[in-house]
Amino acid sequence: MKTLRSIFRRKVRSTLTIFGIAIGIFALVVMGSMAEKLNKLVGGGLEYYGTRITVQDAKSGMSFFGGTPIAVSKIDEIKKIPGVKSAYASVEILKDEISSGVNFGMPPMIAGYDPASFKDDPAGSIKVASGRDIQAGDIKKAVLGSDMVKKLNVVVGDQIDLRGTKFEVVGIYDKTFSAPDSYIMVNLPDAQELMLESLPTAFRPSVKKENLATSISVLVKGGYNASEVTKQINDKVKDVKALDPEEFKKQVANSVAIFNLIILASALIALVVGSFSIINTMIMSVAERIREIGIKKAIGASNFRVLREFVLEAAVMGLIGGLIGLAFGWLTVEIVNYFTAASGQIIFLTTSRLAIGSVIFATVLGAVSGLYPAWYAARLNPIEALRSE
Amino acid sequence: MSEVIVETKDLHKYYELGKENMVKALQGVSLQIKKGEFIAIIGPSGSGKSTLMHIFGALDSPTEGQVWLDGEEISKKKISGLYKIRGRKVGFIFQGFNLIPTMTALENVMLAVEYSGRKANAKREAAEILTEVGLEKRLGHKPSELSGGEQQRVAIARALVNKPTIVLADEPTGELDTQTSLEIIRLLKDLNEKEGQTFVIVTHNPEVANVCSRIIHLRDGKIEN
Ligand SMILES: Nc1ncnc2c1ncn2[C@@H]1O[C@H](COP(=O)(O)OP(=O)(O)O)[C@@H](O)[C@H]1O
Ligand SMILES: [Mg+2]
Repeated sequence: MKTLRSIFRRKVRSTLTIFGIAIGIFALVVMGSMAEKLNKLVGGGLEYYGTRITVQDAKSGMSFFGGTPIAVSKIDEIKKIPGVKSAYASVEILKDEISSGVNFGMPPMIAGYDPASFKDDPAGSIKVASGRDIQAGDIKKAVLGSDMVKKLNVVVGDQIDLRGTKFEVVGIYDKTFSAPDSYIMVNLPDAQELMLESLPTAFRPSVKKENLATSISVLVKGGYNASEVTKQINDKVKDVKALDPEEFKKQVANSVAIFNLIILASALIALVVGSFSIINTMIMSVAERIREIGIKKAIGASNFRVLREFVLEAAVMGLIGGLIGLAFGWLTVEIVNYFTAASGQIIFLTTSRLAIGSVIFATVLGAVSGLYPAWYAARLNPIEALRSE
Repeated sequence: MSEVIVETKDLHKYYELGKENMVKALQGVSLQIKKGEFIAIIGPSGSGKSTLMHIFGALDSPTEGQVWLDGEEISKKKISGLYKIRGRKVGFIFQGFNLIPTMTALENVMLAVEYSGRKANAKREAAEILTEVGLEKRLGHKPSELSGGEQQRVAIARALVNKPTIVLADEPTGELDTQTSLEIIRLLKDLNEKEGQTFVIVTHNPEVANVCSRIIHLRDGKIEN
């Protein structure tokens, strides 16, 4: 209470200072929420892609999606490599041939697997929230990732249009906060058919539909090293390119780290400005209260006590600024999410560690900024302080 | 029974204002103040009265000489290390009241209790002493809402709340009218008689000096007799 009254003795000045901090924390919360969403997305993606070796056609580009089709017949060769637990064809193509607008995170994908072989895959264990999963023998049936429900505005039983073909929605998956949320699962033959239609016309007669896949997913037996198995596949199977999940993890971790760093740095710049503003305010506040400091010392305040009072004041300013910044940041994030959720795109995720962390950070920043002015106040000679004014 | 509360030996205090220019505020002051005394220090402006009080009260240190307060030599110690003595053994009353403007009467007094480390009882003790100086109806008032005499009563309450061994008042009536001055001095004298605390009062007011048991005359930083 006393601290608050001291702070608001100069209402305009303190309010401006607090808003300086609030803006910094606002930036930190909003940008941080974006980073947290991405981290979660990538974390989920690592689980999804990071546990298996993806085998593509040797002529395929670096891209994970699309590119030159791989022959399903390669599966038999791959299965002979020691350490391979299972291998199965997967078709993953973009839902829309040309992706519309700016996409954050994963674009909607059509994914086709053979339900029987997919069961072995950790990614195949996603629970169904309503309806049922794809089953062997399904024709023109689809199960939607949770983000797709809003995006396509459908419920179980509705028809959806996938590249000109009608599919019936038979189920909806639980939310995973990662890549599968933007997937539309169909049976492998259906996906192969859609893929065939997407190939250049000149190419079509030369391929058999049943032999089409965008990639072959390889699961590694326990006790075998994924990188080692990848190397073996590349060495022994012709015309394929196996991608090491460890490499993938490393690449992703690097780009995420850079993104996080950029966000952190920009928020820090905002906060350094806020911190200077606190230092300035506290110096002015000490200068105005020199006599008061003298009185306090004369009636028994220790230097430490004086230091503590001023540091506390600065910390409380940081805390208030942090709370305001958090409130506005969180509100902004919720509002933006509310509007973008309609199109199935959630951009921000305010985690509790981000919320708590940014408020603590603001408080500590305030305290640290107040340290020098407080130290100056604490060291004042009591007689000279009493004599001032 | 006449226990010595303050003793000084050959106190000197110099202020250096430049290379050649030195102010000798105190030049060899030796005195003893006993428990329960009610002493006036009088002397012309600039004679060193405030300087002497500050040294008694562990607020300032002498350039030379020794000071004992309640049996402890304080002249060798750093001022910053003497806060406990200032908080518990000394009560200061200033001419300009020196209350903290943003705090109520009660809070101003409570602050002194808190600084002496007895946070739990601060409110009760502060209210009690304010009642004793006749301000039971003014507890929640800020200094700006109080008259000069009332402000000085708050300052007296603050000086006395920790039951100090010595109360040092530097021209406590300097900013008050004659009538109020007399009331304040009577209050101090009452407290002195009731609690047996030691009072040292710097004053220009002969009426004040009249009620004191002893008068110390100071001139040019020396005791004059
Ligand atoms: N901090 C200081 N710097 C320089 N001179 C000082 C300082 N404090 C006091 N003095 C000088 O010391 C002398 C005694 O001052 P003071 O004790 O305040 O006198 P009094 O209280 O009797 O009026 C005066 O000449 C004053 O100008
Ligand atoms: Mg004086």
